[in-house]
Amino acid sequence: MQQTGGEQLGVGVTPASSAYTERRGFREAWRQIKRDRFLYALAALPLLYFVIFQYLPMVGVIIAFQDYDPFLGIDAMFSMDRWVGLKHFRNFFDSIFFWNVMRNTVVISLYKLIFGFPLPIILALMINELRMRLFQRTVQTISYLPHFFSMVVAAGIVRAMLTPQGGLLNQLVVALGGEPKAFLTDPTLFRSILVTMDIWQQAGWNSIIYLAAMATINPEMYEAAAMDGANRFQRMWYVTLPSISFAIVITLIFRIGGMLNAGFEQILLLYSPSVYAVSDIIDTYVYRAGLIGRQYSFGAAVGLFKSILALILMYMANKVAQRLGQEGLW
Amino acid sequence: MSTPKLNRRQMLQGMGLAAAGAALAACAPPAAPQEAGDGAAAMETPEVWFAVSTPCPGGGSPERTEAVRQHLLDLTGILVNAYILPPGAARTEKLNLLLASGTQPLDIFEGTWPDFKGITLPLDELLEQEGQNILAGHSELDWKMMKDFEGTTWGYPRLGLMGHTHFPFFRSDWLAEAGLDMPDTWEGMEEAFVAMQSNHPEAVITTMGRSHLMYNTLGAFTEYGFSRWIDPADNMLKPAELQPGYETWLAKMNEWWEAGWMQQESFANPDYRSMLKTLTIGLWLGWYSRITGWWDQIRRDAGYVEEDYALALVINGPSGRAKTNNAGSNTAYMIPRKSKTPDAVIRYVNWIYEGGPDDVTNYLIASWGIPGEDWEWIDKEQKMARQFTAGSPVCEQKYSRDFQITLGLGPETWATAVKLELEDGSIGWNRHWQHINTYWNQYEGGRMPVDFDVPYDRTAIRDRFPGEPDFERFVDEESIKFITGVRPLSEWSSFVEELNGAGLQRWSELYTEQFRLYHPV
Repeated sequence: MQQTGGEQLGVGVTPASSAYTERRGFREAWRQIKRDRFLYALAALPLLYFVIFQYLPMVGVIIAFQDYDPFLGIDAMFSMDRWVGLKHFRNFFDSIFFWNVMRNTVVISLYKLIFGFPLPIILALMINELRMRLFQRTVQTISYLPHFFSMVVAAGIVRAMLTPQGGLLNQLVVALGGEPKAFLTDPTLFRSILVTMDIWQQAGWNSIIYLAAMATINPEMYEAAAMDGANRFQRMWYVTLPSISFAIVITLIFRIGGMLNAGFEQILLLYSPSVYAVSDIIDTYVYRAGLIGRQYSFGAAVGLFKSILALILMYMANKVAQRLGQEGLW
Repeated sequence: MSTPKLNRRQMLQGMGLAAAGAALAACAPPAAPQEAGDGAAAMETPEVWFAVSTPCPGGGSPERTEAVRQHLLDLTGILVNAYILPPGAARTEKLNLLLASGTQPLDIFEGTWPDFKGITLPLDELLEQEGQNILAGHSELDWKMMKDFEGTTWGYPRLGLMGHTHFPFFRSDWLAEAGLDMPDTWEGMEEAFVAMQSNHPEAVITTMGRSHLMYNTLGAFTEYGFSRWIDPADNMLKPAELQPGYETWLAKMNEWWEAGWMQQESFANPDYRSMLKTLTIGLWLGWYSRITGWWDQIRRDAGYVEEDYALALVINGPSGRAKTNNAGSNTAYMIPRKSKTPDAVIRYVNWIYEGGPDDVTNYLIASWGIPGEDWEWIDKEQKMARQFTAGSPVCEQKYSRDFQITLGLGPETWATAVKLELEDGSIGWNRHWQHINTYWNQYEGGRMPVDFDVPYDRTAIRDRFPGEPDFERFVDEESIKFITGVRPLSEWSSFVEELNGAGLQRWSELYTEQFRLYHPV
């Protein structure tokens, strides 16, 4: 204990005593592992999953610094012959589309954040206020449903609704005396369509976490507020919202961390040359260059660049949350 | 007898062991492909694996496929297998994975050969030894497109110079209704459309993206049509978009767009089959097979009699022929270096080519299946055939062309001469085949691209100018903006400035360099 205290105070600790503490720590850890060995055995498999499928593939990021050719086999990945340093990053920064894909990624993500983030909270608050159980469950089910459509199906529905060749919306436009319009090829409308579709598909599902958080609120708080004369809106405002603020903050941090994921599948399935200027994002650019154009190293470099930006964003969001007195992720 | 009960500890140990076993099993390498036959026979029978695209992405009847496989084994002594590639962009992904994988055998695939140089085998010796029919089956130009500048052959031809791919297709019944003949001038084409639209306000012009529009129309306003061209000012190769007259063409296309003539989803990859079914397309300026194949099927299924399309052989504009022929292509069938049976592949392909244009029986076996079971000759001399299962529109009822690796030029083009027995017993010529057979080598109606015989190595260009794909895309994107009016034509000169910033000079240098290898000054 004395040695530990000495370390904490920054006073001199002899190497021998430090080694002793370390050995004792190892012994204690080993004792605990031995005691809980079966629990550790159970945890090993999921851990193995993360190591094999989530962490080991990260080694592959090395190809961002090489002129890698997958057809030459995995050995080529560890050869210095193809090392090119930051060449692919420079090529991306020099690309005529660099600022365009950056702008589109940020703008589309921001739109989705601004309009898509509050809606599940509002929806959860509204569902929570419903008193008829059957109606509440029906609303919940209907709002979750679009989440379970695969993106291909959802994009197909949107296309079918918006096509000028007899699409539902255009039929309505024509019935009201208007001209059919190709909504999906209009650069001024495309981002709005993306955001609307995203909300339609995800708002219900994203409200689950808030509904779960609301379920943990002590009913006595509502009773106390009611006795103090708070009406339903005030109870929602002063009891429900503060009680779920931790969930809101955590979700917000995750959303900001994933902000550069502007919706790859959705955009890939809906965009076309007419709207590339307002819809081409980092992920579609990587897909095009990497998987279709076989510029794997270039694609990896752009992907890595995006991941670094996402990490910075998440770190910043976490810091801001802590400064505001909320619990952060770490 | 009492059953021994497991205590908690034993149960946890058992679970741990099972989990470890499952993890090991999951990490184990995949099983090797099943050997054909057994013992010595399997050792002697070469087995080959193809990566193919078929009309049935989910495969055909397993029974018919296996029967055809055995039939081909009897005929060629080679055991054939296929990976069916999915349609669309996923095709490239799947193929790349197959090529990069070290665990799955692959002996032939198609693509543009320069993209795969380094992982494919040079074929000169193999063709010389095992592929004489293949060599004889293609023109000098086709083979030129398969070779690098040193003269090494990297594949056998899949596509080449083609005259049949682009024609303006008019609604013939609407033309007749307006009392008009098939137009042969630009003004005639516009007048015809105006007449169609006055009778049918829903009529639109449809294309399948800017390149198809350019193949069909750019020559009307430019000297070179849809082709790179040598700029006399500096003797360098330039993109088609910078030739004199392109701006005029853009203005004309914008005029069409603003007048509401063009289908609004022309540049948005819509579902063309559904679009054809709406019967609103008065003038089709896209890829030919959507009319000769898709439309023909729609027409037959719906029982349309009057409603149909007919093509305009030539449209002459202010600068001459509007159409540009599809340039020679370096799309090839290639053999990966990793292939263990390259000689067997070439032997198999050579067998399909056997008989040449006069006897396409082997091609039809690889395409349709077993004679007498899936199809049969009615008159081989006259090239008349009858299909059984091969004619079924239902994939699950037929062999779905899995072992066909000679599409495009050569045997497939020769086979378009075959006529089929129709439902009423008469003999008819499939519209699609008739079209190819009639026009594939008719180049007079279109302009010949300046560099139609240059097998550009775009991979080499991209290595030295990584922004090349972005450059091409930028040109396409901005041109569409000009057509659709999103960007006014008054900004044309700033667009050219932007092209300079995007690497026009570099683009021009690299393409000129390769062009000059084949066309020295």
